[in-house]
Amino acid sequence: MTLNHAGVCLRDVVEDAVDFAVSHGFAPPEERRLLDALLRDPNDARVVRRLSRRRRHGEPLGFGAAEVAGVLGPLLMVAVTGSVTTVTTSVTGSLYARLTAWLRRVPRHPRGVDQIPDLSRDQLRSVHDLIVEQLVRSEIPEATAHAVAERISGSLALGGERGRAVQPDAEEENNEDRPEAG
Amino acid sequence: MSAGRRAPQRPDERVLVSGTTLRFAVLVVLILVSSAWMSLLPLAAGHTSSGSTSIGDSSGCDLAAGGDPGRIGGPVPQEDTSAYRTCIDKVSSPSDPSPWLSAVWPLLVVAAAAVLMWAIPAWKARRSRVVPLEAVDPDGEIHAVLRQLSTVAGLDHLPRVIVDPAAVSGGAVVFGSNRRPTIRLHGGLIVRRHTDPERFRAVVLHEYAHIRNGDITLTYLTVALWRAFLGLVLLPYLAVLLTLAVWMALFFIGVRAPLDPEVMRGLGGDFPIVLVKLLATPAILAVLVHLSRADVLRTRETYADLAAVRWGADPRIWTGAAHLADTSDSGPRRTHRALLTFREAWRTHPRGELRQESLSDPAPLYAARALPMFLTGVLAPLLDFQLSLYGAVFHLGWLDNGAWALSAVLVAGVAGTALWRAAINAVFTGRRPSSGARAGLWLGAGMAAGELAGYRVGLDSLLPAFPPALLLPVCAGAFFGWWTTQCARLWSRTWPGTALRPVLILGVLVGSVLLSSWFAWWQGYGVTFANGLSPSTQEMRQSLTNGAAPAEVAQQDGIITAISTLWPPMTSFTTWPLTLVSVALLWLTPLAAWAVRFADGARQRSTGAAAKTADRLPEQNPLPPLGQILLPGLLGGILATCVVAGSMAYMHTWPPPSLTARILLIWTFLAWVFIALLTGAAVAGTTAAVRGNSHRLLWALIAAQIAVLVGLAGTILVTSLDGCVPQLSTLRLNCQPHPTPSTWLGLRLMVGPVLVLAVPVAAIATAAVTGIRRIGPTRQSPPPPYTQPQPLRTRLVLAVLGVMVTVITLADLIAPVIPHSTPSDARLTAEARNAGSPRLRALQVYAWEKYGGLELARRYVTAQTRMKDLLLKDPRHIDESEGISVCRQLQAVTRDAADYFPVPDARAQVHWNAFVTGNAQGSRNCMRALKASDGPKFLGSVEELTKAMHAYASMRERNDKVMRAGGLPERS
Repeated sequence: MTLNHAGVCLRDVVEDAVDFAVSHGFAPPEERRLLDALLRDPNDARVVRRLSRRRRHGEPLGFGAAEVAGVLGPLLMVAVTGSVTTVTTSVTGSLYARLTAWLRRVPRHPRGVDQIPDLSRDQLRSVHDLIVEQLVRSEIPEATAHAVAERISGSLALGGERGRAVQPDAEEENNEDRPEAG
Repeated sequence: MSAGRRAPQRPDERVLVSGTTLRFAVLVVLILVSSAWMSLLPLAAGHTSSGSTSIGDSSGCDLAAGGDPGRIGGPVPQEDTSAYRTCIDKVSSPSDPSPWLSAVWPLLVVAAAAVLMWAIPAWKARRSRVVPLEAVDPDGEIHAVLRQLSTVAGLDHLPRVIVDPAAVSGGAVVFGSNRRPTIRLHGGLIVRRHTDPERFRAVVLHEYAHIRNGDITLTYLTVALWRAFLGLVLLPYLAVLLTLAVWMALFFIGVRAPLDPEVMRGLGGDFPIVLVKLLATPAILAVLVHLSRADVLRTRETYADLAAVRWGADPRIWTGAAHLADTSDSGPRRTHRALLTFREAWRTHPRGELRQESLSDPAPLYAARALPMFLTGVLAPLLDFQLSLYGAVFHLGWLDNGAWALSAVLVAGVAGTALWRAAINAVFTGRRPSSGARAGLWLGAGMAAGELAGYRVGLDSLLPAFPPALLLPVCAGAFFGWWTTQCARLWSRTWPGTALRPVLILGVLVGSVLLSSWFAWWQGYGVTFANGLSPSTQEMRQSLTNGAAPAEVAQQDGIITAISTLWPPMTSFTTWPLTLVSVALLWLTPLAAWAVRFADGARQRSTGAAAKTADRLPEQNPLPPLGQILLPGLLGGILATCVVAGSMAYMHTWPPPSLTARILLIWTFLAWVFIALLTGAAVAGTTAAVRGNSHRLLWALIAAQIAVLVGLAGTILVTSLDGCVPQLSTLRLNCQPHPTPSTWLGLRLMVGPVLVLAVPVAAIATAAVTGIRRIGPTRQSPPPPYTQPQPLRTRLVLAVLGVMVTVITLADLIAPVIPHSTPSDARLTAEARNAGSPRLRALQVYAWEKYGGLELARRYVTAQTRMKDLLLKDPRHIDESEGISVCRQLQAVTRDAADYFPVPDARAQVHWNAFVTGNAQGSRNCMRALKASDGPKFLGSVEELTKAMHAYASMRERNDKVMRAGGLPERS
């Protein structure tokens, strides 16, 4: 995956996490195939919107009320997006700072792939905790949730570094118009 | 409910028809019928905006004829006159697109639904959202499992399987059509296959069951039709109504001048009610369709669950679903139970705990539940008024009969099947049987509610003029439920075959005939009575008292009043050709059970049930000895005969009537016969009900009808003795071996209404007996010992009764005494026609003028002006040829005036009559005088014409007054 901006792709992070879960036996191999099928849509934002939509239990001739099965890929797409959004919008400071933070909240890739901005250490920790919380709420075992969240935090941290290495100009541009994060 | 609880015995759910297919079909019919009539408003509005005509055209003719178009399906007084046809021809333009467009509109809805049937699966399986199974199952492992399960489910081919990777729940859904089904597995199900293979199996088998049960096409056909209806009919309809509401607001605030009064007919002070009713129809339709569809789908889900378990799915999977439902419903659980039931009604899947319960005890599948019965009841009047409206607009009188037949088949099909299934289940399981009356009450309540929602009670009123009349459909529904359930219980235990499906279908067919008679009477006459329009008592009173001396009339005033009040409505009982057939079916259907042998099938069922519930259902023939039922009937008939003989002996003591008052004497005697026969029926019905332990209603009906027949035979015998036995000489003095022709005719008149009335009499007697038994101390008498019936004697008795009934029924069908007619033929009485608000009267007079009256006035004034000019030109010398031309012109106006509608106001009509008569005479004399050059005669004719002119002026003055009183603007 090539990056045109600083940060890391949402889908890269999630794919990496699912690969990690499958290779460590936290999830069955079908997880990866399902994620591939899901990510055939190049627009991450659209995928997340679709996943966040209320599930329809009353579909005619469906099985009816069926419990959420804890499918890791979709859960992570939603959880990572949600947690990153939460930590990046809780910016304090001037109105301008908050406004620009809000505007940067969902930076768009030209092809529509969501970029996750660089996060500070504190933000990474918050993201980790939020992901664990959401995964556990979706009945993912706690140990799996911690391991996967750890992996994602690492990806986000490394992704940021990698992004800076690939696109120093973009980094500079970003630094110019970005207020202090954290 | 614990999973380990012992499952009660039950019939296999596949043995009987489920009735859900018919309920889907009902929804389809409802949507199509609604498409036809609801498209009328938008199309009419669209046509109006093109400017060629106006909405109120044909309504204007109805008003001009003295009718009330607000009463949908109500009679139009002058419908069969040339004046009405001319009026309609005048107002309908050849380019009027409404008739063919509104006929084509339902076809458009069907075409759109067909497109949607193709589009919905395509949309659900679009490539951007789903992937083929192979994409997530490259090694074919899941495919193999699916194939193996499809063999278990007995599917010919493996359906197309796709996967929705974004669906995280462990479910699946099936769509497409029965021939080309597609299963969409949720991503969550794929993932859980390893950890929970039993769940995977259960879900897939559940979806296969939907395919096997043929649920897909009907379900998605309903969805597609509803969406097409929504887009092509409902939304345009609502748009027109909202436009209408805005217009009305503009009229109220004075921004717009009012439209023609007949267009504004429903837009006066009553407009809010009209708007509410017009809006209520689609709202009720939407709720009805949604609730019915949801209910049917819930039933289908339960069938699919049962099939899946039968094919080996683990029932504990549904325990998980119940747990899930418990979690989601934890809030409402603490609230009122009704709220839970209400929420349940809107769901397409039963609650988890209900699904789990249904697996161990599918009793709800067999219950005749309140909601479906109510919804089915609402359906009948909705269908009827929509078809009637459509028929009224396009003058398709046959649609009335079609509506009754359709409603009867659909309601009997849905409600009858439910009642039969409930009764059969009770027999199989040995449970305490329900009477069916409660379920029937819900059906009747639905029929009454549907009537309120329809327009037959008036477009501008929420309630009919006589609201208690709406209790009649409620009672009819309760009776239908009660009777059907008892018949089903009886026949399910006596049917000789091993399969019960044929008897269920026969029972539903009989129910259709019964309901067609009810709908024919209610929609044809009952609604009219509910609207406060009762037949004239004056006409009957006049014919009774015609020629009688005042003293005689005064002496018999009570009975004259009673006959003239009660008899005219009773003539409406047998105007539907199948009424007496229905009455015969009511009691011959149970009676026929004696004609069949208590054969192997029935014995097997009885013993099967007995083995399971030995304490409740001992092996016995449910039929009591036939004599136990026949005897009360026979005694009731003898009692009726005795009362008739007694009344003859009593009437014999009266002073001989004058010759002209004989008709009153005959009617008085017939009234006694009427009372005697109904008394006999009541006594027989009550006795049979008291003696019966079960099926009381059926025994009471049989006994009551036999009492009427025996009483009738006895009456014929006794009246044959009239003149032969001195003490019984009432109507004639000489002895002849048969009744007098007038008595014979009277008895023939009476037989239909008496047979019909004996039904409610028996039902009321049975209800009273049942009620008293429940209130009083429980005294369960042991069932009579089973005795092998004597087939020959039994069948002989049944044959005699059958022949009697067939003769009476065929006589009524072939040569009816009371003519069979449809309500569109029904004539309202003068009083009824003149009933109506001042506003309606004003609109009628306005329309009368607009649709012909003013044109006649213009022609009349032109002719009169010519006459005046002629007289003023030279009074001493009249130009004869010019004079003759003027007189001819006046004559032509008179002829057309005589052909036109009578003025809808009685007082104005008096003046109009005087005008027409005077003008006819004057113009005729005028012509004769001029041809004969007879001056004095000519002057006489001018005087007649002047008088006619005064009458005309009075009529116009009266019309103006009526219109002012109704709030219509002054004529410009």
